[in-house]
Amino acid sequence: MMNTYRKALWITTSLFLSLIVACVTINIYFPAEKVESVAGEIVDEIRGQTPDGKESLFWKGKGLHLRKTLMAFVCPRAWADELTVSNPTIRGLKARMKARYAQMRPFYDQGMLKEGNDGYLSLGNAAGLGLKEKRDLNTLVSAENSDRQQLYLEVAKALKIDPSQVNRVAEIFAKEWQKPVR
Amino acid sequence: MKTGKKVILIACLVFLLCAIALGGAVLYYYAHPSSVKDLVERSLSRVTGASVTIRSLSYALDPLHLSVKGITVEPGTDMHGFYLEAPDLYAEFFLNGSFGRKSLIVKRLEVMGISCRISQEPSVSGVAQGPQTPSFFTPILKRAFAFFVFRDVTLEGATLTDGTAVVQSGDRTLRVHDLNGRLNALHRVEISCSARFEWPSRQMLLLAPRVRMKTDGAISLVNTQIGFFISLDDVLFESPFADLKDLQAGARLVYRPDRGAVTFEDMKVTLQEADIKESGQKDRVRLDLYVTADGAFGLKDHQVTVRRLNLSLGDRLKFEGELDAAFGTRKKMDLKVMDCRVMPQHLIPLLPTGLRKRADPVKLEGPIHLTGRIGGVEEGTGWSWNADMEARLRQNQVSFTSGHVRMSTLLTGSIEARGRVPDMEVSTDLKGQGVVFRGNGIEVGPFEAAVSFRGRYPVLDLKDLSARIPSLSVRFQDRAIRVDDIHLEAGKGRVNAETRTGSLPEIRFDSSLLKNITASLEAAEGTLKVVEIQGKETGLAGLAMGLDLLPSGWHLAGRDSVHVQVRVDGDKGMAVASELTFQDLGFQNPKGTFVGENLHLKATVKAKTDPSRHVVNADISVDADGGETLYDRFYVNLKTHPLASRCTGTYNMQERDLQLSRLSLGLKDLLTCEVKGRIVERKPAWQLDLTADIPELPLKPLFRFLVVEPYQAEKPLLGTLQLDGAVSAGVSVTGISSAWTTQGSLRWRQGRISSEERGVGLTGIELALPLWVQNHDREGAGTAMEGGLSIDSLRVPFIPEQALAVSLRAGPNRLSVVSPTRVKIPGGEVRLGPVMIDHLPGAATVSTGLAMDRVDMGALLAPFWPRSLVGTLTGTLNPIRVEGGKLSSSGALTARVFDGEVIFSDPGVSGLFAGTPIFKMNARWKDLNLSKLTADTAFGKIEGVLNGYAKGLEIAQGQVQKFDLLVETVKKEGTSQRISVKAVDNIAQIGGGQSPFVGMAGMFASVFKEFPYEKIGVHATLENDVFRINGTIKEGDTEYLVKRGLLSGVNVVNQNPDTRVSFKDMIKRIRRIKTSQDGPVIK
Repeated sequence: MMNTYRKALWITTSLFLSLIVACVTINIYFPAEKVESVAGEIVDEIRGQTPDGKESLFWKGKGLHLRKTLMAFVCPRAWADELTVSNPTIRGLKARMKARYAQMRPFYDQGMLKEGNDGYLSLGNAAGLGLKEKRDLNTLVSAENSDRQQLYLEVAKALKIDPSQVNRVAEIFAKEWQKPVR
Repeated sequence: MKTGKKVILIACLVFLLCAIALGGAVLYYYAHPSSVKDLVERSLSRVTGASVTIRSLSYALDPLHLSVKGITVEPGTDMHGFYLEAPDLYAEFFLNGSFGRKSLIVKRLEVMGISCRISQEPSVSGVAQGPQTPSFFTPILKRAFAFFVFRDVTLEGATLTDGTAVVQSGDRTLRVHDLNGRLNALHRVEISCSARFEWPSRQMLLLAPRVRMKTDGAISLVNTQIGFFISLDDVLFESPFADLKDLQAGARLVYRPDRGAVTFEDMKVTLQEADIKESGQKDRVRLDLYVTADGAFGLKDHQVTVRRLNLSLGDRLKFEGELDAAFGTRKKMDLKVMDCRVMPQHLIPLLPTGLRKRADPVKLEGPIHLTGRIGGVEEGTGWSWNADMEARLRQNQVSFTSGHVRMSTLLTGSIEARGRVPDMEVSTDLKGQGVVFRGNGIEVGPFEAAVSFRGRYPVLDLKDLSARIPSLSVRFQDRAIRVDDIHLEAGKGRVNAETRTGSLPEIRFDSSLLKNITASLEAAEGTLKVVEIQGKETGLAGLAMGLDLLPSGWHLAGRDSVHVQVRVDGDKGMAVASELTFQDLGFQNPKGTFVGENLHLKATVKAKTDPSRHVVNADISVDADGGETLYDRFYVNLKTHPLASRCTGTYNMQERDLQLSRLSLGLKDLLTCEVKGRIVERKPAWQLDLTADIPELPLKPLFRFLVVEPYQAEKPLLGTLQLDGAVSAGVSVTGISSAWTTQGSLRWRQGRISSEERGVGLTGIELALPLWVQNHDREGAGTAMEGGLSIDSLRVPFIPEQALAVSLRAGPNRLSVVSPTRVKIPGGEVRLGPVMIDHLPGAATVSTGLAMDRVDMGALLAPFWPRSLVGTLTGTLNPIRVEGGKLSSSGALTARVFDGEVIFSDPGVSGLFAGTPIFKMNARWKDLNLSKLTADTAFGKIEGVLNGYAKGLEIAQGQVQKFDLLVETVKKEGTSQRISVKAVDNIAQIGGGQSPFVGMAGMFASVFKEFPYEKIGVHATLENDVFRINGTIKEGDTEYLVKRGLLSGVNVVNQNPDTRVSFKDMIKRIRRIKTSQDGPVIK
């Protein structure tokens, strides 16, 4: 009888300790939803979905009520903070990327540019191009990737994401880049 | 008396007289034996031509016997070298038979100790030279003798004991000893002896210890045909090549005087073993020699006719044929090979060791059948041979094994040789089935091959050589390379077996990897002299990929044309001349960063080896004058800028030493580089001693090619730059591959840099840039290298045009400007440097410093500050470091302005080489006279003293990006604190976005121009385009931006302490202040 109690006590104690230990969780701050929304906004803007020089719908507080509502649930206290992912560097980057996008658009249409899962651009099947055009396209890709790298860093900095998580930012951006070019 | 009777009478009288005379003679010789001796000596001497002497001769009639002693036959005038001595001869006779038919019976004949010696070329008259024409009386006398005395002689018993004979011819000697003979009761002669034949000059010896002869019938003087059996046992034969022991031979010989021949029947020769000799070594082999023959030897014509000749060497060789040979004055031989079955592989053990070893790699199994005829005639100059032979092979297994190489096939075909030897008509048709070759990393087969030769020896013409190989596998650098459908064909060719020369002018080769190849071969003195290979569209590109000569993932395609000629000049070496051209050549690496399209490329190689010095001299050139290439960002149109490269050098294979006499690489109108020097392999590294020179060339196209075109997309600024002048360079590379040092210099003469768009212009640039790069940590033994930069005119925005000159110094992976450089700026000068650039050429870091002393800020800021400004700027930034795309500095610059000071500290730039660099700085100010600061500004006048700071100030894209700003007034004795209405309005607008002076407040404010204040305190931050503005003066829950004075004034209260203003709104607010020249609108 005593043995049965002792056994039950041991099991209970062990379970309790396990639960305590299991409750110690490590939270790494990574606002995936915010990055997604910012990525969508930036990519749209670069690709001409948002008129140049105009504030986004997010910024103006117009439209996208559903998203706003959802965001309110996700981070009700400071949602406005997270939406202010902009600064002169980002604007400069966007402006350059937008200008470059106009140059790259025909190559997107011909499938000569591939959006990778890592958030960066690479040359696809450029068989129809001469070497000089290929070189020019390569330099565009290289410049684009260079700007994207800086963009991801700036976005991460703005959202107070640890620099080690920049790759995740890039991967989220990749999903936006990979959306069909409209 | 009739005439007939008279004749008969006279004949009777003559006969009577003859009989009386004969009887008288007989009586005389009977009474005088000495006369008989003389008569015999004379008769024999006359008959034989020799000098015959008899010491004593005695005889008796009853019983009839004869005893002769001391018979000597010495060479006479026509008996050269014949000597015979018979010490004792005794004979007993009797006559048997009726009168007229009597026979002389030799009852006993004894010859003892007879010795015979023949030297030179003996010839016995009447024996050797055949029967003479009998005289008229000879038959009459023979008949008379036969009628009256005896008709024939019968030998009933005879013995010959201890006879010897020596026959000598040249250095050849035949000695016969123990010659014993006996005529037995059956009238058969038995002779035994031993013989020894010596030929010293040929080192030959033949010993026949037991030679036996036995006649098979009585010897008759009338019927002189003698048949006898001869046998030789235990014969020993020694020669330099082989020793034969226990040779047995026997034959039945028949002397046929009617034919003048000796026939032999059932001749047998057997030999079991032999010792093969080579280099003093003996190797015993089993021969199993068995020879049988039937034939005849003509004594008159010395001709041998063997009508049946069978010879066998166990199962190694079986010969069946006929032989005709003549050894007379005209020697000849004719051997008819009816069938000869040879097992070559089984004959190998009979070969001397050396030959056997040489033949060891080759195995030819199965029988070869030979048929035909070989004949020879001795002519004045020697033997002349004719042959009509055919050798047939049928599915004979042939294999060749040497080391790891093995080849095998089943060979079928024939080899025919006809005509005079050696100029025979030769015809060869051979087919190999199931040919397999393995070795040296190659595996071929099974496949079929055929070869046909025709011609007159020694010149043979190749009629057909073909091989169809389904697949070939080659092991190359641990990889198996498979080549399919190989087709090799040669329809022409010639070989001279005597001079060992040959040529195959056209060998066609096709395969899955390489096609349309035609090769030709020429050989002389048994070695290959010339090899020539040529082809068009051979698929070299595919071959290179198939053999993985290109790095993994590379693609290469193009139409090629190849011509290679190799000349071998024996000990003088080998010369190679080759030319390879490609049309429409394209290549690409896996990443697509190195691509070539539509290239027209021509490569030539001329090389010569010098075996005595183990040296290869080579002259290689590669030219490309069409197409395009792209390497990373560098694009070249080879039609515009053809590539020309040439390399001449010597490589010592023994020393592994490459001497580069000249290596030039050039793109026309762009760049040329020439390299000379030496590379020696010193395992595990390479010893380098090279110099490279770039002769002077215009910089403009080079800059465009190397910098502008590749990088303009990322750095649009480059497109605005114009560079001119001429550049040249010279460097040396020394050391080993793991620790090399490069030293040299880059020169730029009459240089110019300009960018009209940016207002930049540098002219009269003279640069001597010293270079010192190494991949090891050791400090250079030599002193630092010096150089310099001088600019006649330096014109950049915001600084005055000026000349500049700096000294440059290079150390290991380092470049420095040793002494500070003074740069004039508006209002003073900046001392820059020294400058140290380390870790060249990769992740370079720049360390320098900057100092300025009392620079007039009015002049310095004139372009930016629209009003007059009195102040100085002094300070030092040291060190200033550029590393990893960031510029950072320590130190501060202090601007003494507005009766106070502003201290700028830790300026820096991040993203220095990125598209959007960010400038960073901290600043703090103290005791600034607000009255002077705000005088005549659109902001509105404020009196007072201002302290504060701006931390983490960032400027990007010409805009302020981030800061943490604090501005606070502090009371200072003697300084009033008043603020204009306009300033209050502006502060309020910045803080709240709208004017506070509306309605009653506006009416009230319109009465005053300014207000006293207690304190102004604003704390503002900017981050992510969001301004936060707070007042620093807090009383309870109230936060003031401006706190009014004790008795009067205006409070500017921040109603929303957490006010956030977007960057764009703030810009609008500031713009409103900036553009508004009037005071606030008070409604």
